[in-house]
Amino acid sequence: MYELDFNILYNALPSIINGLRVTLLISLFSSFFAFIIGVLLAFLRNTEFSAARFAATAYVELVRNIPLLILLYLFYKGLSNIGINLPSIICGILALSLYTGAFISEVLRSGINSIAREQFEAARGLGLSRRQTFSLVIFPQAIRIILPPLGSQFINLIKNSSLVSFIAVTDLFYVIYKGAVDDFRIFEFFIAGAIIYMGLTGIVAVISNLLEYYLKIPGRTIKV
Amino acid sequence: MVKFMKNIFNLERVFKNENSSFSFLTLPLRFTKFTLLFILTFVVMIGLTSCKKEKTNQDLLSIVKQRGTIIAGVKFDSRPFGFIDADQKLKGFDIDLVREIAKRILGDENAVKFQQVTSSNRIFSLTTGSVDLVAATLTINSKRRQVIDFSSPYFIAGQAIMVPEKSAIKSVRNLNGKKVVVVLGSTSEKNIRELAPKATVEGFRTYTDAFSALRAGRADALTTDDTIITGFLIENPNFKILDERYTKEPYGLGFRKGVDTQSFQQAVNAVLEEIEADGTLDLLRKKWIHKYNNR
Repeated sequence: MYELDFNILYNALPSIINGLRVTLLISLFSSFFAFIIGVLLAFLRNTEFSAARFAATAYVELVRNIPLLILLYLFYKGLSNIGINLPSIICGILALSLYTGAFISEVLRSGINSIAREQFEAARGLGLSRRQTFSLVIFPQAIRIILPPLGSQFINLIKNSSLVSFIAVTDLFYVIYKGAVDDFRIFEFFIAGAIIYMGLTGIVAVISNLLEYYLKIPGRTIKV
Repeated sequence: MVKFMKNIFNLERVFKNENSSFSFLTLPLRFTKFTLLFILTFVVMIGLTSCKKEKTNQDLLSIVKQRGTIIAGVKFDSRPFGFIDADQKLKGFDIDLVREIAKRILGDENAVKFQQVTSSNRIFSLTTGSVDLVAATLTINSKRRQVIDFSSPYFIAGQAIMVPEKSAIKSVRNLNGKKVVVVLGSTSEKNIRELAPKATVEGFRTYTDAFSALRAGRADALTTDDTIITGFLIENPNFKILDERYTKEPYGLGFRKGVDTQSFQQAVNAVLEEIEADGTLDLLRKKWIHKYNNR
């Protein structure tokens, strides 16, 4: 019979808070870069230059079909084989942003494609440039439509960030795992870890729901 | 039942007038309901896992004899104790030791099923009952004794430091401010924090990962038991081991705690005594711990 003893967590609290800090840092930076990469890719996939379109498509299909762990090891071990030794936390942020960026670009693209073609033609007809059409007409509408799946991508990013513990980044999962194997208390630490991750992703979920509510376009919500 | 579910999720309200129901005020209310549901799921899950444990109280020795095999947790990454050789076969000191025990208890040295464990999960594989014993360079210490039982020690290793051949590090005192790699869940991880408090310690899950970080130049030193380091040195002559030994690490076999494992522990301890007395254990030490002299 396993006896739960959550008191053990008090001693580990300082290290858990440190781990949480690292996870937050990684998640924030990666979310930021991933979004930028996603927007760039989505834009490239809708340009008239076929070479850019091809490159962006190739990138998305390549990156999103590779397991994140392989991407991490490629940056961490592969690069050091050719003499580039990036700090492991940078490797983690790079891999996470590139990986999530590919998914975000797909989400954005689906949003852009959902805007009626006539709007694009009308905007062009009114004399807006392609860039203006994209940033003033298409993008503001698309971002509202794709808020829920976009929120999911950021939630996935936070959870995926636990994989960086494999390359010895002392993030939340590393601390939880270390605590569990040091004190032989797997349930206490992993349940605590699950709750902390749930808290983090919960915040993102609430933000995305609130944004969705306040930014929604009148008349675009479907009533059942 | 359907009505009940509808009440819980407030499905009707959500579906009928979606826009008016979703306001800033009702948001916390809906979340509390979901949180309650989450907590309930957790409680049920924990309840289920704790119930499962109560099944076997049969004597382990008779189970092993009935089954005809010993299930042993060994390492696959720690030459010369347990490792996969170039011919893809599992070999090592711990492997031979468990085979010897099987030979003397069950009469057949092949009556062993080997399962891979790592420094981080070897204790759990015992407490969850997935292996009968663990022979995995396991140091006997008091903290672990609270969770598992140990056999009498069969080998004494010492913690040492491994550095690249051209490294300027001569002693543990040079490690301050340097990066040291370890394996999570090992005794060396805790010791190095006391020996070199100002060193950065990075932990990996396996020795293969830890060593590849050192080889790639991502760290300045690796610390673990001298036996495991000498195992790495056989294949990697570009590294060296420092002369100092910082601890004594008596290796023991690990058993699950409990009344039902006592007779199995006694049988194994009897075998250990027997092979210590007739020189088999010494032969094994000579066979596997090459040039290394046991301190």
